[in-house]
Amino acid sequence: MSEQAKGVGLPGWFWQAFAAPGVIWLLLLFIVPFFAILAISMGTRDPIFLAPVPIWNPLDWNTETFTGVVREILFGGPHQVVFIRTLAYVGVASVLSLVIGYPVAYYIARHAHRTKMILLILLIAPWWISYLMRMLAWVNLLEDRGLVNSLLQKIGLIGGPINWLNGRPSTVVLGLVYGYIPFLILPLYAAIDRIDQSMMEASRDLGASPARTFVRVTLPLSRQGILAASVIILLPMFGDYYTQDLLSANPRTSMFANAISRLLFSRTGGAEGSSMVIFLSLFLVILMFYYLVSTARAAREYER
Amino acid sequence: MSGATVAAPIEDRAGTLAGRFRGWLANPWARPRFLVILTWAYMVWSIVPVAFAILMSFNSGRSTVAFQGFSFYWWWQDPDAAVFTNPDFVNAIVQSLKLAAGDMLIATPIGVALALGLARWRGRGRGSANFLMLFPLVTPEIVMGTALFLVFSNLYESISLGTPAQLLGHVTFSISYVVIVVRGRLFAIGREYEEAAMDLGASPFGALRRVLFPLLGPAIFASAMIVFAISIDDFVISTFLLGGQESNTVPVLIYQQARGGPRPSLNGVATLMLVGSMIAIALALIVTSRFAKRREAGRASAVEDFARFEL
Amino acid sequence: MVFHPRDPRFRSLSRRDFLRRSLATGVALPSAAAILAACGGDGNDNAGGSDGTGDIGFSLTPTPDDPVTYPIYDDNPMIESDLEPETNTTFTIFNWIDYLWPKKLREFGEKYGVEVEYTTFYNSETAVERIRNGELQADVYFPTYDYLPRLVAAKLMQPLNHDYIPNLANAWPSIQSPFYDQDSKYSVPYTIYTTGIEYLAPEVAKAPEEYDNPYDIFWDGANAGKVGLYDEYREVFSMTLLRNGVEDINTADEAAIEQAKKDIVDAIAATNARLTINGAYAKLPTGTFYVHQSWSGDAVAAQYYTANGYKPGDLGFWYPDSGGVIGNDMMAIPANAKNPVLAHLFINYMLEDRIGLQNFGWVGYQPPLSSIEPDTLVKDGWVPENLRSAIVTEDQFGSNELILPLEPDVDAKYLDAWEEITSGAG
Repeated sequence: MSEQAKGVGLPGWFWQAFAAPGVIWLLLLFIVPFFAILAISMGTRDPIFLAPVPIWNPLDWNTETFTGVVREILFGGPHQVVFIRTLAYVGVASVLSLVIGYPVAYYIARHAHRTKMILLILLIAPWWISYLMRMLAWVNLLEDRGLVNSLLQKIGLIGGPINWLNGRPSTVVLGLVYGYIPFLILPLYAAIDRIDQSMMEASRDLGASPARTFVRVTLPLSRQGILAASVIILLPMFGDYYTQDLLSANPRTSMFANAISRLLFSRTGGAEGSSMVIFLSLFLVILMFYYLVSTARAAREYER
Repeated sequence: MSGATVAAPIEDRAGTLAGRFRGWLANPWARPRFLVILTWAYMVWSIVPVAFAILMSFNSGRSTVAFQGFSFYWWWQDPDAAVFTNPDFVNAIVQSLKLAAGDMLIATPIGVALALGLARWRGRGRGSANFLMLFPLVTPEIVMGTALFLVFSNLYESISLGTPAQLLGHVTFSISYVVIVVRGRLFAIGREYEEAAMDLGASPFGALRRVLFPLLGPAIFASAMIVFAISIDDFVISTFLLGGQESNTVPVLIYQQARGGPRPSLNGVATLMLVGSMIAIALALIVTSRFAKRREAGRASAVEDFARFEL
Repeated sequence: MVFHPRDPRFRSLSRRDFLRRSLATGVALPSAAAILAACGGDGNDNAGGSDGTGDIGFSLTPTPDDPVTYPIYDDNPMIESDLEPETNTTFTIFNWIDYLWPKKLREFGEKYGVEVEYTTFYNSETAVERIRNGELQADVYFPTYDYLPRLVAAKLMQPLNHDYIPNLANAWPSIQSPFYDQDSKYSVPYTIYTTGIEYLAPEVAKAPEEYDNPYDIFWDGANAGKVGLYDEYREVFSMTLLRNGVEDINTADEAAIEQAKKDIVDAIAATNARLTINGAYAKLPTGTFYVHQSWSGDAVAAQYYTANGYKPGDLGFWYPDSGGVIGNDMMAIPANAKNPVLAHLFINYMLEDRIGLQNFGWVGYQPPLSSIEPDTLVKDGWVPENLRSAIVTEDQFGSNELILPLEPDVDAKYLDAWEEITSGAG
């Protein structure tokens, strides 16, 4: 390798300088804002208006609000109800998404030879359709005089129109599934696609039935992909508030993120809202770290 | 081994229905009908509602549930409620485009530079910088939205909420996407071309400018298109950083009006954004596939590459 | 709470929008301590609790039973009488968006040969901050009655010289010396509004007046799915307390609050009531709701938003004969106004009968002027007959309840209850 190729001609800071604008930007507008959340949550209240006042010096932080919020979530209170409800909705929605999504991903990866291109395009499409539009489409369909009701009535399954949009948990959960399943299927497809076909052939050659091959070989090999894909949808689902707002708007189905946004924009609840954001982040950090580590690992595979 | 050959049915069960069914199941390589049906059913469930909503924007009547005839009425004919005549809609469209264009113009250069820097960085701090770059990708939007809202309200007070804050927010989450896209291409290209250029006498800057950047071109373009599409579709960050009715973007508008008795024109605005987004992505795909070097044989198409996030 | 409906997070609908008033009770002031420190510089305690009687000399939370008369401070005097209006200057109004007809402002500017500017804010917190730190030297500002005492205490508003505002006599006598500012020393009234029940007459099973207790319409499952309440805790609680026969909507009585909370949860369960901030004018006239809590101004504005086959004549507005919820907004002049004489003249101008009426036609919220009577408004077509009850009259100001700011611990009770309601945990 020539001297120049080793970059001898380049000053040591050359590439760092390239990275600098991005790094500085992210520091100022990504890391510092996180610090602002802490500053508000651990801040104080101005005594007359009870509005949150940020405290920037960590040594002066007042953890009363935060511990109060955590205690309430863990031991009882309206936030606990909301948190458990959110866990339930997200849990059910994720499981449903996997149950529907895995077969689809499997089919496209393994079996769809002629139609693969079309199916992939159809799979990618929802990623680039605004989430709001997809929900709007369902709001239209689920209205009293919408297509869903008229179809069901025509088939004779129901007598009169059902009010889908008024506080039904099932509508919200199905909405979550509809909204997030594309983000699950695509990575899952990618993971399954990467599984070496020869593994499965070997299993068949050794006499295992297709079902057995699936359970003993394919599924375990795709486990990494399942986990990664699930994390990809779990993170945003926990922070979702707009699905509920569009498909229900009823306090009965309100989710954790609804409480956060309501408190954050209220006069006095800023510290409480921020504390809830911190709680949510800590809760999700396990998931986030897992995802980060596996992405970093995958990225490192690129480097040679 | 895609086969259409059916395995020899198990002898003693050949005649019965159950036997033939088992025979069908027993074939390891035939396409399982159940999966086919499920997959296509999923596709229908996924796409048809949106297609229907798009269709209803061309409805001649007022309804968004019953198609009464094809018309452009709600696009420009109604004097003040159509997509292009309703001032709120037009303003939202303009705002979305403004933010997307600004985002593209700012985030792409920063992201490309960051990708280069991260890829070539030798020495301390690289891991942390890499981590910093990946962080926004995994952060839930509500957390980022809260953080940005609080920081613009309490610390960076000279930057007002609304378009300035929204723009900065959009760029913040877009940079990482640019890096991911460009980095992949960067690794694929490798250093050989630059090294060859420098061997032939080019300065490091020259090698960059005349060799690397042209090769990187498609990826840069693709990442810009992705940023554009992401920005247009963004909802949470835009909402949290709203500064006034003027700063409503299209997704925000849809959110506000969806439960208020939507009219076909609302579907129309949504369709417009969808088209914008799709065009951007399609351009990204086309440019990437036409100019990209095939890294390995056997890659069926750019679509597949895209689906596997390997541009 | 807090959110002024002009606050962008809750806005919707077109620019021809009429202002939504939220009872901006207790506005958030990040540096309240600093504000009160601005008063006199010494002994600046920011008044321990919410009631700063000690150092300030008057109550920060006046009530109709405990009215407040502000002092005139030596270091914040009123302007001299008989001064000439300023010339060659820009006259600035600092107000909520779409809360004053721009044409009237322009005409004022033309009358006195000055440039005019309409600067807006979308929440009181930022508004006051801009005034306080001198960034903005507005000439006229539009505070809310619960905020006014604090602004006066902090010497941010200047006392009014009534020689310049003879038109104050046009206002209702009872509002010329209101409880929150006896003798109108620092403010004059701007708009008045009530909170009632708006409904679509052809759609509801029964009109409010047909119920034994009209508020029960919000508990009637017959309208399930079509019921709306304001996303504003004080408004919803006030309505429920009144329904339960509790006349004091600012009560601190825990039992009453708890009962109200349960009732609100029941209402939501029975009718799937939704919480909105613009439903009364934006969604009810299109049929999305059949009944909605409504400010009088929203009801008046609703006539312009009908769609889907509904007509203005289908709208109805119910308000009790007495014991309902009422509120008002006012105009004041910041202490650092650049053009105080013009400011006084402007206030006088807006209190003129003709101007006030025209402004009402655009804004939707009516000014409390004696000449504006229900009969004239209906006859001249400002308000349709079926919405006559949305017109506020003077006797209503004395016989109805105002939503007043609460002591922090009481406020906390309401907020906690509201949190339970909105989390679906009640």
